Amino acid sequence: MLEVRNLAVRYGAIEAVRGVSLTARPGVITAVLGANSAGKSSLLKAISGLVPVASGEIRLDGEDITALPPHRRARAGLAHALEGRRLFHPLSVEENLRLAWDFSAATGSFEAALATAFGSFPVLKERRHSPARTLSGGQQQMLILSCSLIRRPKYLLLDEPSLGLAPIVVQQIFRFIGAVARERGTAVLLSEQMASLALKVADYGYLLRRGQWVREGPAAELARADVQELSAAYL
Amino acid sequence: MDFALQLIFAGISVGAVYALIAVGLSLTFLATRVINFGQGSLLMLAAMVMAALLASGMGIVPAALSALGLAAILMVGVEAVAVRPLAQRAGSMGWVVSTLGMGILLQGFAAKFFGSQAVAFPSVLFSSEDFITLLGVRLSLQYLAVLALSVVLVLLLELILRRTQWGRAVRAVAHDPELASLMAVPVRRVVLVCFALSGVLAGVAGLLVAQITGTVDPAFGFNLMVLGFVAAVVGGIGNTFGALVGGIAIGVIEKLVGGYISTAAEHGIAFAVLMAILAVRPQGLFGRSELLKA
Repeated sequence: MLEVRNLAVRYGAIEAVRGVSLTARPGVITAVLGANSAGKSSLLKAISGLVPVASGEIRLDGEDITALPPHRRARAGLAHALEGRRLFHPLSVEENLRLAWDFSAATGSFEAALATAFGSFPVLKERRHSPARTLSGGQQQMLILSCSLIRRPKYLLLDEPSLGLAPIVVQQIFRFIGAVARERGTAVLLSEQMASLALKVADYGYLLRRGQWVREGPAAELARADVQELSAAYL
Repeated sequence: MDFALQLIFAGISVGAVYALIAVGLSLTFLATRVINFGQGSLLMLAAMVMAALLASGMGIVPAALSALGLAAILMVGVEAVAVRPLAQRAGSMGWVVSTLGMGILLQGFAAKFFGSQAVAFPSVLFSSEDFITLLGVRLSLQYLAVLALSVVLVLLLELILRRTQWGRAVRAVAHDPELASLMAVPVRRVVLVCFALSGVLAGVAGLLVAQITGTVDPAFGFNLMVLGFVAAVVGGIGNTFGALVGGIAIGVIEKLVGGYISTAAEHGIAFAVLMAILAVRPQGLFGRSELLKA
């Protein structure tokens, strides 16, 4: 279980995240909703260790990881797929996957893990020797997901996986994320601007506005929630 | 014709050492986006320390290993003092001054301990008189050995970067250190290993050049480092193969200009080449411009 307690993130005088608490459970998709600049990315980056925490604590399976550097959190079973198609663009598809595997604590053979990744997205197998920069946007997002999941993390943070993708690709990717949570028991924390989309796949949701929760609840409940309240959070 | 071939051969040998210096600069540039202008002083220190140790009666192998070990340790020190504190401010160019300053400081220490006069560097790899004749050209065995060692080291590094887990980690950190850390890559350790390895490469280059020139003095490293830098820029910084071509091109042009025009123009010509390359192809002959995009 991933637990965040009273987390605050500051950039100079700007408070991007203020007193946020959340829980992400195995096999459950938890959505973090909110407008652009509501603090979603900062929250995720604080959890994975890319931005320093001003106050509060982060626990992974009960263990305090607030002071650990990002690579130690990754080894402890946390994966974070960044927004904006962040990949090692000059490296080939296979090299990207290999790198994601090499330093992790995952056991077993890389070949088997690679076969599983290619099984989920066969197009990556066809492009395995191409540099990541030559992939289409949808293929890059598939590679990002595969790199995050190849070492079988217990926790997956996903930042805006739908951004800039064709609806049909978004559907494919969300179906895949749902299957990962159900079949592997991964705890998924999904940050999305597209609330309706995220709430279809998520089990539970938090609504973030200017760095603070304004509402939380089961996804079905949030989806039925007052449209005005949701849109208020986006303004 | 013989004269031209002699010059070209000498140029290739010296150029291979420039390539070695260039890949050392490239390695730390890949890891931190910083050109370590302190590298020249480490090159010099390795050669000076080796000369002093040999003079004190130490054997060749332990003396060389000590000199290279010292270069590696000092390079890690340069990272800690002159690179890391400044890299934390995004967009800061302070490292230009701090790495250069570290270099000058180390040069000052060397002058204090060893004196600022040139000291003799004994012949370790063959004698300067040994040669073989190939196609009517006298090839000095020292130059041949220097060429072979440099090329082997450069290619070995390329192989490590392409084919090993550690090499992939360096390329990943070069492209996006944040993303690398999320992939469980220990970025700090990768950076430190790059600096230590760059120190060893600089040290080897220093020993090889000292072997050819026969003397070392505290000012010895700076020119070499600048020529290595030119080689790196000409070939495309971060590209090992480019460094090799760039280094050898600079070496050959330098020797030909020195032989046919004037030795005074020998070093100047490298900068003319640098300016021409920067005007025509700023990413270098084999540079991948995407590597330089943040």
